[in-house]
Amino acid sequence: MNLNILIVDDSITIRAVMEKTLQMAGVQTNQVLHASNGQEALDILAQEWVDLIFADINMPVMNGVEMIKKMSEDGLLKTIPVVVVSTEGSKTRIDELKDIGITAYIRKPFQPEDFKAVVEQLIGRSNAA
Amino acid sequence: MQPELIEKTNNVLCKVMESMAFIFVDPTPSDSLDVENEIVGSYLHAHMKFTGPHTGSINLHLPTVMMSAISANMLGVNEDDEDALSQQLDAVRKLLNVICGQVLTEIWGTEPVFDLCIPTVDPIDNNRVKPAVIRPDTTCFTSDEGLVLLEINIDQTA
Repeated sequence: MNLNILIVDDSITIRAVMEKTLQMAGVQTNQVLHASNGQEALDILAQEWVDLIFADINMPVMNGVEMIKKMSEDGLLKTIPVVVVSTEGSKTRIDELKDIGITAYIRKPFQPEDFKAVVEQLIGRSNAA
Repeated sequence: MQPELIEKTNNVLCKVMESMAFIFVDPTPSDSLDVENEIVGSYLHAHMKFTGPHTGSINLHLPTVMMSAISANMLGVNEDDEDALSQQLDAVRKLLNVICGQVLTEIWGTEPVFDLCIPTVDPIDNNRVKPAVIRPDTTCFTSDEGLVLLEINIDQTA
């Protein structure tokens, strides 16, 4: 299964690194879309269907938490798995993220194995070769 | 900071620089350095504040020439690549952001919640970098690109 993936991060460098890391992890993609904040991501989601979202938390305009809360208000969008990729190391805050519905958490700096494990868990081994 | 914390934060810098930017740095005692000859050329000051149960800031002084290596290595392209050149500041800001997040966990563990401010990166005269070498909260690191300084300031009044 080739995935449509949305990467949400205010850093253009990190978005590029994440896309490359997904390739290195063997994740098969159909399309990788980029957004620099939560609002841009919601705008994209209004027009495009994605199978999986990798999102940072601390972003200008609309942060990751606000984006996830907005998605949870929509019957269709709330079914899309959201994996938070952040520098956050606080267990308290990660638990708060799980409470609002994130699917998984990857801490920066990340490795291809981190993405491979999450995709395998969510989509199945057939994708992450 | 206590010596064991300094060692932990040193390890963070080495690990993050290596894993994100493929740049290898080694902690070096400041009294072994020839500051006048080792801090040369133009430098950058990357700065980031944190607030929460403890407040303070993390400061990274690094040679400007290292900036292109950081962005190019993060992106996996040559240093003269257009994207690497245009994303140099963004790459350094993100690197500091990750260093800060990791340092806070190393010092205070995973229970406290911190808010990280937006990192800034500015040019700095190397004559203003030299005095930082002997400050107690500074650790010096050698690298192929030049001397790197990591300074962690914790607000003791908080």
